[in-house]
Amino acid sequence: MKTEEYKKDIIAKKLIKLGGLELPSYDFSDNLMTIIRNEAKLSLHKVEPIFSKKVWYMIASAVAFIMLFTIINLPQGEASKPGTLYLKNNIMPYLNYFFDSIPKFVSSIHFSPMIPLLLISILLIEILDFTFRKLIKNPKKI
Amino acid sequence: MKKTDDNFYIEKVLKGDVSSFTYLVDKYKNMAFTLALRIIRNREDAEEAVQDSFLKAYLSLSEFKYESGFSTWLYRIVYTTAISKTRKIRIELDSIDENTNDELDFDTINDGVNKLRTEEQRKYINEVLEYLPEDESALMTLYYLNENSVDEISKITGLTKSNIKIKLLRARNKFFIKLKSLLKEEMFELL
Repeated sequence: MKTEEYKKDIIAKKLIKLGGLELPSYDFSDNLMTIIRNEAKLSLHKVEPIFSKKVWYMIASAVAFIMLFTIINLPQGEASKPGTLYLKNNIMPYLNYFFDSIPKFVSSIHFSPMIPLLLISILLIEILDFTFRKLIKNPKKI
Repeated sequence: MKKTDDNFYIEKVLKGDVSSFTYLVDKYKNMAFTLALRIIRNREDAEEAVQDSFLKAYLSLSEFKYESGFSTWLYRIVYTTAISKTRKIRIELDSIDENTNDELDFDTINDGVNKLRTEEQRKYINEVLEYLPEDESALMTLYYLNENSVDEISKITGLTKSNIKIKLLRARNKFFIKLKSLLKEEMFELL
């Protein structure tokens, strides 16, 4: 049985090899290499985004961590009650506490004169980063 | 690293020598085109698929891990590109009773093909491969023409090894049945 299968395999291989390889058009390589060379030139003009996705994830994680930290440190409420009363007695104090704590938090920070400058610089970098990302998506505009 | 090694040219391309990619294109374009044509069944579309595949390979060459051969990696790109481009025109061969292969005399088929002229042999065999479903035709090409192992074909197509073996067996039977019927027609025409 195995010999029979082997024989079939040998004949199939021989026949299919007789069929041979199909050939693309004679100028296939030239056309393809022209496209690849153009692509290579284009990639030289590409500007990499200043902040990678990884950095963005780190910033988002830091923001999430700060928010979580604030929420965890809020005073604990009574057992939950449905309806408006619940909102009035339980949710509002938390919200009030959160918003009240913001000015305290801000006043507790000692601002250096460099901080506004730093914030403006970050904002400018972000605007440039966003602009370059758009240009990369539409290279014809470069 | 020898100059004949694919890795030698891959390293050169990665260092910025775009022209070195020509070596890889010239070496693999025919097999890549044959594989794409077996799936797509149209020369222009197959050529476009191969062109797209080489471009994808060039752009993601830095991601090539050298774990498998460059050809296996490239043929996987060609296979997936061709499959995604395939128009869903299927020639239904499933109606052929695969069990009839018991009556097939493989030596007669072999002799029948041998009696044909080279161009006719090519014509008939490629015609038969076109009758097979795209995936089976691609598997036959990789296994019998390019002599890829089942393991390599598994990496190229993403199919399991057992599935490949079953599909190859089925495809081979269909191949012989169709070839036999074509040879019979040829004999009638001669008479």
